[in-house]
Amino acid sequence: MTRAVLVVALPAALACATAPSRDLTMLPPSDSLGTVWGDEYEEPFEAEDASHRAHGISAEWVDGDTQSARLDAYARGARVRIRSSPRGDTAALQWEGTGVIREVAVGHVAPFVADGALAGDMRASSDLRAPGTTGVRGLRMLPSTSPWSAARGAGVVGAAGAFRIGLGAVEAHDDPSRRFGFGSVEHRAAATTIGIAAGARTDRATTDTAVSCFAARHDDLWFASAEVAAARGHVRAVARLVAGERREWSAIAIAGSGPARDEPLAFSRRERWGAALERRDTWARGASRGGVSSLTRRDDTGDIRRRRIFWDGMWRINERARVELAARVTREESETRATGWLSALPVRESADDWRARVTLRTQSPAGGGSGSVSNAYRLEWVQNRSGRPGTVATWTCRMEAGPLDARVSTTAHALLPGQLAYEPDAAPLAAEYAAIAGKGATITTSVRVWLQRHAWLGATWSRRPPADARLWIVAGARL
Amino acid sequence: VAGTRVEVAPARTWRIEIADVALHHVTGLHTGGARAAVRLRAFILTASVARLASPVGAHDRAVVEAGVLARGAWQGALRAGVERLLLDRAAAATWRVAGVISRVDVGRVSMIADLDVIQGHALYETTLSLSGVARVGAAQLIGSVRIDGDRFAGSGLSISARVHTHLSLLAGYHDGTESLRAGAVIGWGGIEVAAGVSQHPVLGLSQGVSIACAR
Repeated sequence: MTRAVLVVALPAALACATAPSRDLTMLPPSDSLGTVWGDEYEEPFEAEDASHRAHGISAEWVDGDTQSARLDAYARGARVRIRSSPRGDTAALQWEGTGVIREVAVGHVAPFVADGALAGDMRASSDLRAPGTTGVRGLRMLPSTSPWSAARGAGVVGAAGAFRIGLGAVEAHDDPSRRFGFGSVEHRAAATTIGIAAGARTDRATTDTAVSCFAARHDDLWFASAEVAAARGHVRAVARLVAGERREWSAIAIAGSGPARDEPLAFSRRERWGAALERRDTWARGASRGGVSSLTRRDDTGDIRRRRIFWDGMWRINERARVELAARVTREESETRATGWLSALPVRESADDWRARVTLRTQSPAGGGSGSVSNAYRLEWVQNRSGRPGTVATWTCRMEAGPLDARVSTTAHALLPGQLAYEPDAAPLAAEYAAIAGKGATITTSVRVWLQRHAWLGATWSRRPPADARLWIVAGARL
Repeated sequence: VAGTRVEVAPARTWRIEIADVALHHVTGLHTGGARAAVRLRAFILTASVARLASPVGAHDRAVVEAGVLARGAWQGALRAGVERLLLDRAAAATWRVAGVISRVDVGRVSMIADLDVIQGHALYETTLSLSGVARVGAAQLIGSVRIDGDRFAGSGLSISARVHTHLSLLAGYHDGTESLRAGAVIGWGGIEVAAGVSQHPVLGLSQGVSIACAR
């Protein structure tokens, strides 16, 4: 792994050392996966975000087939997030200050320590893209709105000079008898961070303890961090190297080793290692980026190795229109180990797919110049190893005129004559685009009316064949 | 001839058009219809009826569209209507029609999205068409793709050129039906007369004519 890291990072670091920095903000935005893919089904409305304001409150209530409620409030560095849905309820209070007490979090939170050897591995979810997030911190309790990942608890971070001390405790949401406690101490110099963290887990039968130490160094050209954790006689190590962040060339490499298949550690059990190299270019009317990545994930039941090459670019036709092109090829090999007394044979699978898409985005004035109409037209072609290329067409139109905010979005997956499907249901990428499931296009239409820009009332109708149509009402307010 | 609709609003204040097409030299098999469109400042109103007649019955469609124009850069309309199938030896079936069409003009390029939904009698069908028009001098290049339900209905490519002040010629190909198309449009004042043919490799020739009046 060390050899792979050097092979990837050294050329990138050399390129970064000689390349001038450019403005790369015109690159297409990335979605939550860190890629430009996966936005076929855009939400009817973006959630109202009042976090940029010093004071504010935003509340939303949804009735109908999707009952939920949300409340966000901000004041004097404190924020409250409350979510209620059929999946579960979460609520958290977070406060950030600049004095001795820097952070306080109470409610449904998730613990994160350094690079995740002890808890909260954020290095890569399903994809690895460079540059990654640079920076390492000790214990943080971050509010979570996911009923599955959140735990009930509290945490506090204090600062004294160059030292930071974090303390926290949580209990699992599905089993209150499982409790976790964490503590960390870190020292921050100009470019170097070092620290130690410890944790303990207890349930009805056992009590485990674990400890880790971490270090990171960061300058203009590169960032490196490492963490080593030990628990119950086992040692786990993770490392991350990022070179060329915010420059034309960038590279990221992550590595981990530990007893993921054997006695699980008290906390995180997933191992990931891989590397990614990315090149970004900008010019007067556009930008592009391309790269390669390899990511291996080892979980309890199997290994997944994903290799990917991608390219995407954007050209501005004029001030109101731009064209986006993207393509990627993925090869994924997975191995599922035998389990149980009557063990089955290990399963090894390989899946290849390529995807390419072209998108035209336009924005036109409307409503006497006070509003706008945005349109996005997209054609996408998908092919996996066993099928012929399938076509996906998407059209999204959003109109804002005065107090009216309306959106129509439709996506149609098309098969060629005689073709049954172009995507296996079991594909690990299945979450990124839907399988052919019904007859007809997916349609979502929403209308929202603002009242004095402080309150809104809206309705959304959605149909994704073969399921029946759904309708829900949204009401909200912000101050 | 282009095989796709590229206009949402009439180019002038109003436009009335009638058309009739004889399909594949089959006696009694033809389609025809009429469309009336009016533009009042920023608002568009369109009504159209169409009938596909055959020796064993008829399929009728009537829809109205209402929409808006935004500074000549965008035009969109909502659609509602009914479709009715009447076969000689079966009860009539009626479906509801709903849809939306949007056109964006960006310089020499126009993009059109047309979504049509048919529902009723345990049927739910959608048709999504994405089309683009590129204008180069006196010529227009028109490309389109269409997806019916979860089936790729094909893509089409057409070119039209104004060869004289009052004459335009059109030619196109649709790979879904593997059919070639050609036509001519004669325009004089507010009157347009168009004639076209379509050659299907198996079903044979279809020919049609339309007359439009606009002010």
